Amino acid sequence: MKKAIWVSALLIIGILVIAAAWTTRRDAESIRIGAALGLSGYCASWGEGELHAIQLAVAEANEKGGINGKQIELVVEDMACDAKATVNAAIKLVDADHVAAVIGPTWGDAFQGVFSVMNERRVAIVSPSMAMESLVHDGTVSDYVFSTWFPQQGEVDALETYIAASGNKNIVILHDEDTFGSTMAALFEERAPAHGLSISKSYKFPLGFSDFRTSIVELKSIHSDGIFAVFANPATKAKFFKQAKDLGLDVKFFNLTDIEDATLVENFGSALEGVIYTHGRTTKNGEVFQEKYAATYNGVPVGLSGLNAYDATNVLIEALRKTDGKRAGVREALLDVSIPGTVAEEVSFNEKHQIRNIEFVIKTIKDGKFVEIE
Amino acid sequence: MEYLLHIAILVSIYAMLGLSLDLIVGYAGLLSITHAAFYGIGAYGTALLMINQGFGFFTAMLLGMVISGVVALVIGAVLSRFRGDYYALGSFGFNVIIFSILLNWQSLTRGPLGIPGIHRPELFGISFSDNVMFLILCIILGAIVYGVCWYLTRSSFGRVLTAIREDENMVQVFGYATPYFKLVVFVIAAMLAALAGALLASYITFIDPSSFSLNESIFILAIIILGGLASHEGALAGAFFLIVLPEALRFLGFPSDVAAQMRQVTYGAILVLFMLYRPQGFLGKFRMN
Repeated sequence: MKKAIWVSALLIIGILVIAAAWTTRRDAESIRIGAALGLSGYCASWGEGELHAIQLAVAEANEKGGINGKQIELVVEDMACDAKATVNAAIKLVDADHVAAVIGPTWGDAFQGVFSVMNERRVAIVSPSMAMESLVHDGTVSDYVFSTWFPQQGEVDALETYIAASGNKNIVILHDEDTFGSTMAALFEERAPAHGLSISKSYKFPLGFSDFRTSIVELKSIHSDGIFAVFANPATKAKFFKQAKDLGLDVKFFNLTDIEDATLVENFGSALEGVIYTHGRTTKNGEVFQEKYAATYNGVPVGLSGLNAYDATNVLIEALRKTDGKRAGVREALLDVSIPGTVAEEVSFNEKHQIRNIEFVIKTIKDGKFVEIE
Repeated sequence: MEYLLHIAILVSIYAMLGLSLDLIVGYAGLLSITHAAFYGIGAYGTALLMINQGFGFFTAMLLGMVISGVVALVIGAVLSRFRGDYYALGSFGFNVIIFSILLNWQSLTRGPLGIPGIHRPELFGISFSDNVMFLILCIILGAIVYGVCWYLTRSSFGRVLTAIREDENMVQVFGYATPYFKLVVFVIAAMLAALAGALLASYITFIDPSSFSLNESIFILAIIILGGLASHEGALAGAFFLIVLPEALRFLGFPSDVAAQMRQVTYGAILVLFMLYRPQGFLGKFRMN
């Protein structure tokens, strides 16, 4: 009898899901856009900022009449910073919610399973925080996948040019086993000879590793000119910088865009002082966005991908205007559109589906502020 | 409909994982926390053989199962000498090793970048690229896995396993070489997990090491504990429940700003309540102490 009750309970849950999936019908008068973002899990701090930026862009577009007179409905799913949940979220958005296109996933380089799903279904997806190099590094360009994150190869080139120009030669690389960390370390090492740099040593750490003290003691004996540290989670690299400062490691630290995070400076204080990094030059539109974001959400987005998410939403909406809100043709429209952006004066995609014309500047953290180096 | 097919495919893959792990944990009473490693070996073995060697899915799947079985034979030879907590710790360590190999043997596995472009199965001109066909394939292979598990547990071999679970010393007194039984069931379960891995690789068409971490082993263990140990139907029920519940919660209509957190709290609370009021799982015949 008890077994029958439990089996019945399971069946009821199943029936409820089927009913819910069947009854998820789109309003004919609105156009649905999906957002598969990391709203829980280890990438959630970025995902939350991305969600708010997307909501802001959708609200603005709806105020201006939506897409060809139809209001935009945003359907949000949590990818939980997990490969399986990301695939589930994307399939639910595409097959059950019938969205026209998807924005996401957060840190798409680490959750690539979703892209084969989107290619198979011929639905465009624009990630606000994915290094496309992790997809195109060996020539595999995904047809329906786009990213408004900064082209990492250009960023690495800008950083290496500065490192060499400022008289540094021997660099040590530290990275984790995450897709982003591994891709960036490989790019840095690959491009180093072209800039006259040599890599003294490369350290690789497991994902989530946070006690670097043994390696730091060894680093003190290497006498390198600088350290390039790249980890999936910006908080991990902040921990590394803190431990390095605590143990008196006196070298220059070089880094990438994602270190420019006010909450990191707030939490790790002086440990980040003096870190030199590249950064996409924020446009006037970017400053306007940040003001709007602060006014709406009473703060700044964690991580830099809020700007990129805002651009991703706007460029997707523009593409959907060209297809009248339909899925078909969104990919081609994305390759064709160009809109004013927050991370570039004009947001448009190149043949690798990355945004073009990003101007990188060199910055440092001085007295807790992000300052451009002349 | 496609979304429901996707969930059904996932349920069938995890049901195979649950059924196979239940042979070790539920029937032999050995707390193994390494099933995701064999799941991964099957997935990677199949994917690499298909992409690098040009094998068809079914040949690659069978070879992937053999590779997984050979690895299980080596590891199991060590593990089968352990009992209780030591067995759990040893198996835990093995999962960490395999995960690390998948992540770091970049020339073979592409490390964290994963392997894209894995093909869907084809057999005698029948393509399983359509999700309905793929689900049918999963159901057929799932039925075979179920049949193997059913046969094993009802055979004299299965009765010895159950006796080992209840009192290994007593079984040894009767002259049974218990390490041999533990090794054989470990190898069989590993090969069945590899089959599930092959299906996953071919279904998603992309694999990376994150799908075969320790967390995944714990998730598979949760499937059989929730479904009920030493019960094939329990493994099916557990897979159904743990795959479907988080998806069902997506439809609850929480505000998008707090939906993710609310869903996780609800999911966690439901699991805690089940364990409080039904500690033996849905259909369990054995309760682990």
